Amino acid sequence: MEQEFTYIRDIHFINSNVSSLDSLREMYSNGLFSDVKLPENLSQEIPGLSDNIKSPLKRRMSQLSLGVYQALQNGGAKNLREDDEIYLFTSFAEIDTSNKIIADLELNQSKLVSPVLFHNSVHNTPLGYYTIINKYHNYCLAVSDGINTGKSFVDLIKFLVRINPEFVIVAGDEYSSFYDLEVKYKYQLYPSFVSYKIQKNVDEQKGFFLKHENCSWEQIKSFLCDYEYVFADKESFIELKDKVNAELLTDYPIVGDAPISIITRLALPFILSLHGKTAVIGHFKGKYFLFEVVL
Amino acid sequence: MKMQKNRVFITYHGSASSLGITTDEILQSLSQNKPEPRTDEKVFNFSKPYYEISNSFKEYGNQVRSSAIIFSLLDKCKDFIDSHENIPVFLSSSTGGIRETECNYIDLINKKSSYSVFENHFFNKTSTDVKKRYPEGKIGEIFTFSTACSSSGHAIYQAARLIRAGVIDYAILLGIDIISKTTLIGFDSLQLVSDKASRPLTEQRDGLTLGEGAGILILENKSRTPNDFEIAGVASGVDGHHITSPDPSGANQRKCIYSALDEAGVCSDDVGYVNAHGTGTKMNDQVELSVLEDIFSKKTLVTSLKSYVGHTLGASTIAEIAICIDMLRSGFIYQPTDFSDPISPLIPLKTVKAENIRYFLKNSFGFGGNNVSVLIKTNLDDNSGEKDA
Repeated sequence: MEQEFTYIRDIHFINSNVSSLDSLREMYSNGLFSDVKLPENLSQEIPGLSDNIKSPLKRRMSQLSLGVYQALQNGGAKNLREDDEIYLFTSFAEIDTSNKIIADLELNQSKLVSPVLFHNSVHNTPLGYYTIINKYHNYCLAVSDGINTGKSFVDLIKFLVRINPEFVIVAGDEYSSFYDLEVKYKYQLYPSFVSYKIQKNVDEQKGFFLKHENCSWEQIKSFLCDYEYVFADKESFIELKDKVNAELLTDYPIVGDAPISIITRLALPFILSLHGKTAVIGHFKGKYFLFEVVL
Repeated sequence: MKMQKNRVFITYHGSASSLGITTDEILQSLSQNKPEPRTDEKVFNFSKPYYEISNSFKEYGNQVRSSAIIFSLLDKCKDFIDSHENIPVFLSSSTGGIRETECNYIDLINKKSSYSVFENHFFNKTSTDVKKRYPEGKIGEIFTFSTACSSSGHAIYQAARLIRAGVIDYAILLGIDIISKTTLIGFDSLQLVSDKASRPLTEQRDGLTLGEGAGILILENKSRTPNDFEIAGVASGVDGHHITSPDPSGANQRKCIYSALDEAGVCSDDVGYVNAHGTGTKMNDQVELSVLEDIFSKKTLVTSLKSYVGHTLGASTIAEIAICIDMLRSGFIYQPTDFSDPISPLIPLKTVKAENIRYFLKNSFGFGGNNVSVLIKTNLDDNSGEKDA
């Protein structure tokens, strides 16, 4: 039986250093994706996120909501149809707003909070603002599993592509001082947002599919000899460096330790037009997965 | 790829709320002992009432409350879990570990806490606890959906579609939300909270009352008994209108209901009962009943369970469907004994017999104008018997 492929198009990515796909292509040409170094100018602020939003609501929107808006508007929702479903994956959602509320309640013992804060703390707030500003009525779902959200994406996407020929993905996390409260994990977290349209490719054997999942490290390594490119998370990149024949790349310089980095990583072969076969790999709690991308 | 069209049966249901945690408790509370909300300013620095589950769940030791409640629901379907592998789990919640973070916040600020926010604040806490509870391979894919009050409606939407298409054969659906300062004071800051216990769908309604609640449904592509209820249709969309208030025209709510009916291949006259979202706020109830009056005739009864359990937020769709199943199987649609001044002729003044309820509809409408309507086929006998209320 022929493998069913799914294509990614209408891609947009934003972080503090990147506002266009051409900048990503330039970074690739300059070797940025060939090392696990974070650029020094990567920042917690993303300037210009509220530009081009013609609505007074933008004053109430968090970095997450603004980033999701821009990613959708310039990415997966660029050619939005009425029946396209929109899926938001966010590890930490409106965490900065939640943090402000909890801080007010606990540190100030407040009995009321600012009325514009609370409704901005729910997980589908970004999709709410997006559809309100544009007066859309599409199916919208927010998926959020904290540091496991990347796994949620891998698991849900493999289901969705089987029943849904076309849908929109948007993913992102904002910066918050809430992360500084963490006592156990040391993550390099910078805000970034990505959006794209996922479309079943019935005409060609091109696109991506989930080829392997729940594999051991040894198994995944053994599969990589089949590929011209390998796009890996930071830990896998370090382990594979100088050990694979493929061109080894990592998304780490643009997404850092974002739990949802896989969502950007999967789009990178399409953005960079990596012709041939790319293995996009990642892992959760010692179990590895591999998306095969053929372009 | 040719799409299969399996039927989707609810082969197990359960709930935990102020009504109780067993079917007997729930029916007893519905028929005789309407739960009273709690008012205790000391606990959450909040003076208005809220509903709680009365159990302490001490048998689950040091588990956080939300996980303990989830475990209690999962333990009731032990037989199913024991006999299946790789079970997909669709979780839904809007609060996650907020309550625990509130309790630890000052110590965290003062760097005197070992509470990991990445492990405990976000929804991965519950999903990790569920996964760890069982041997490797028992729980398969697990996700958490969070769209405020319609969250668990989405669990039904996604799981039902996947089962219908043959992608999965079964799934466990869970909804959970517990009380926290953030939600109590947050809703109050929007002037949406009632000073007394909420009176949804009445002229006297003055806001919602929050409730702690959870629900579980097991969906399968085959029935276990001839009387298993069935997901006949699910639809969802958004108002695109306002972040907290529903679109006054009710256009998308109407569309969702009609879409659910279309999917089931039935018409509005086939629906004997609607379990409304019915939060008790002026706007929500007004818009929802206006939509329901457009679609349904007086043959369709409409009530809200939130006068018994409060608004259980992300858990509400699944928890209230589970309670409806108990209620309809008992042969009655319950109303509180002090119910009065309904805002629509569709709403019964008192408890009535659940006769000829072939289908019932469950609505859930969340912040951001996120709407879900679930149509359920009851597979009940037409003759519901001569039981007394």
